[in-house]
Amino acid sequence: MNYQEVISIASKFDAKGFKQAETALGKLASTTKKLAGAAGIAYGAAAITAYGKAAVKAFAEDEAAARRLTTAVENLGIGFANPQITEYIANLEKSAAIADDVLRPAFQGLLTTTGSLTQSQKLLNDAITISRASGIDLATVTDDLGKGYVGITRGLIKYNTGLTRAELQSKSFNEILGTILKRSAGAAEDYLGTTAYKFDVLSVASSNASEIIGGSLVDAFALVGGGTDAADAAYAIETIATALGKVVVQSGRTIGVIPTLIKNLKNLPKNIFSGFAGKQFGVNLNIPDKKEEQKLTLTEKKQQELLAKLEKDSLAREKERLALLNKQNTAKKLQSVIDKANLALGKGTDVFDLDKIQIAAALTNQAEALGKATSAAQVLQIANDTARLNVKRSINDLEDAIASKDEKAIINATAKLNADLKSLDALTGQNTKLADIKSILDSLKPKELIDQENLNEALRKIKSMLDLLASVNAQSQAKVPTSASLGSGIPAKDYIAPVSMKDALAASTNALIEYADAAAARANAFADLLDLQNAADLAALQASSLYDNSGALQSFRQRESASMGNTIIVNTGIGDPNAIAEAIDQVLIDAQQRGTLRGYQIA
Amino acid sequence: MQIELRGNADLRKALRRFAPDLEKSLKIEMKRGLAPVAKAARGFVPSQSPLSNWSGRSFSEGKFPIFNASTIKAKIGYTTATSKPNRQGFSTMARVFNDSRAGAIYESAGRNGPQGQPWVGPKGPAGNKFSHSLNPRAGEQFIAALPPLTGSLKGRGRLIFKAWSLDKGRAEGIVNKAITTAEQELLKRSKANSLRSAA
Repeated sequence: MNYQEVISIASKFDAKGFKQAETALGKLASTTKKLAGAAGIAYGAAAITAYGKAAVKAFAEDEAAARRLTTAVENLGIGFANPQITEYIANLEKSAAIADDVLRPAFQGLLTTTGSLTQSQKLLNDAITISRASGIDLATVTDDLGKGYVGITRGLIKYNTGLTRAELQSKSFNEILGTILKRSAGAAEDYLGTTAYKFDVLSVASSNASEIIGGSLVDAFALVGGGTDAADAAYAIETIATALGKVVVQSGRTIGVIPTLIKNLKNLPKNIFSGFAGKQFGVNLNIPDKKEEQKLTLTEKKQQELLAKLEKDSLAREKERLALLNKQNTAKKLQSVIDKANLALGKGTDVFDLDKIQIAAALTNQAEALGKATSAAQVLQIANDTARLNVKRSINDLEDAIASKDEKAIINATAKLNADLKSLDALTGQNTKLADIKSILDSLKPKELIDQENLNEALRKIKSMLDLLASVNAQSQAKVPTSASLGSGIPAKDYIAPVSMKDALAASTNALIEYADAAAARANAFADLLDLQNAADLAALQASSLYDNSGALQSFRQRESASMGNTIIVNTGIGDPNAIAEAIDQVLIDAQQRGTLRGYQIA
Repeated sequence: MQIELRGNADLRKALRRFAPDLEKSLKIEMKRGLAPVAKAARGFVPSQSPLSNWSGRSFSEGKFPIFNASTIKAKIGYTTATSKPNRQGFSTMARVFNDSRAGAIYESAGRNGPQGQPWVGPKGPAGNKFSHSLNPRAGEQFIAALPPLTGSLKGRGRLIFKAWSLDKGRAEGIVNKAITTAEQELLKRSKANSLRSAA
């Protein structure tokens, strides 16, 4: 349909262009890869050279570490155990996936610190567990454990033991280690299932491969370099690398030849270069085979004896260390007690000097003065002076105790001095307490001069008298409660104003009910008060002489009670008795007729 | 929910699925802009062939398409469907088309020049880029018999392009505005609440 004529409206870019771009980029990437592949040959040569150097270095470091450990073991007199140690390190490397480069120095440090093969192995295993749990590297953990073993536990605080610094100093290393291991339990086993462990395994394998390759390279290149050690190998590697670099720069084709060259070189005898070089100079440069060093082998029994001796020596050293530690702790404790005593002594001396008490004021004189004292102020003064003298005496006792270095005596003297200072403080502060004064005065008098039973009896009698007096006073002074004394809080002539009509109309029903309840409660309270007031008035009246004596009121009451009988007294003048009788009779008849007369029968 | 619209197809698909009412409105609005153009273009089609020999005969066996006004008119139209992307990756939201062979010839003859395509004669190289007529001036005479080309921003022509030119951009404005409105409304709805797929 090429003939179609179209006017396109609202054209937009769509995804197809992207596809074209992607295609173009894909082509570009493909081209780049080809180019990179070509260039990679040259870069690969450099990488191989660098790897070779690194491998030789790794091998050299590993060999040096192994030698250091071997020497350390031999110095301990158990050189025969080197194969077992090597095997132990190798096994630990495989099981824990920790490179032997790390394990060897750690084990060596522990071995030289503890001097015990078994203890070192145990501590190394513990260190691995702690390292797994805490995430701190093994070298640091091992170092901390080694220091902790000899009593320097400061570094162990970083493992979050939950122990304070003071507890770390006071607790033994085994206790602290137990705490750390308890918190780290299972960490090493858990780590074996992690990806990090798998990476560690790969890393260790790679490192070992590097070392192995490095060892082989050292052997090979050392021969090429005309020597036998790593320095010769390194020289040879660098020379070859330089040559290779030049070749790469000159022509890429040479690179293609190298695999063939290496293959051919591999098939050549190992020492062909030496033989070739030697022939050039007419000398024999072939390296003689290394002869096996002849070592005296120890019998198994002897080995066991040596190991046992090693452990025994280690234990002995540990005992010595603990004994020394105990001695140091004892000395520290004694010093602490002496320091405390000196502190109290200094305090007492200060008080004594400040008050300028005369030492000549003897305790006996104070006792005599007490006998002559007539006022409380004199007694107080005597007590004060006596307290100062007691302080001075306690100071002297404490000085003697310190001089004798008797711990118990020092503690007792310090306590006595503190007690005396306390009494003196009480007196100085004018907070005179009977108990304090009594204790001071008691110290002055011989105990046999005071009859405690008599004193107690006297005090009991005094107390009973005081109780009697108190009850009498209470009865005489007791007041009948009145409205004012009841504490109702309601002022006199108080009342609640009635609610106005306006307010009542404006207020809600609930508010009015609440108001009415409150007013009723208040009125009831007033009524109760009024009753109480009446009762109080009646009681007051009955207690007054007006009521008790034969006054007018009583005569009235007596007369009133007398009238309660059947006798009617009619005061009349002198007149006709018959008229009187008739009048009475008429009254009675009228009363009967009215119905108000009861209990009487009129004939 | 944020949606990203890349190209016309995505927009129309989104409208169709999540806002059918907008899709419908868009179509109606675009139709309002494009229908007059197509109608005007049909009006430019002459009822008789501009050249007497171009009109068809009952026994005609030539390959050249004959002029038929009704066919040309019938094939002029517009569409609001999204086109497929072209080689450069562009697609269109709406089109005005002149879809018949004779109509296309009438529309575009003379664009390459008043002389028409280069004359090579019947025995010349094959291809539709050359004039194979016996008359070396056939192209020139054919173009001269047709009305002049009318230029527009979309190209030159005698039917739809002429109509587009005379429309003076009104149709394009309506269409573009409708598209923009629909797009914005869709985005607004998508921000206001999550869109639901239309059943």
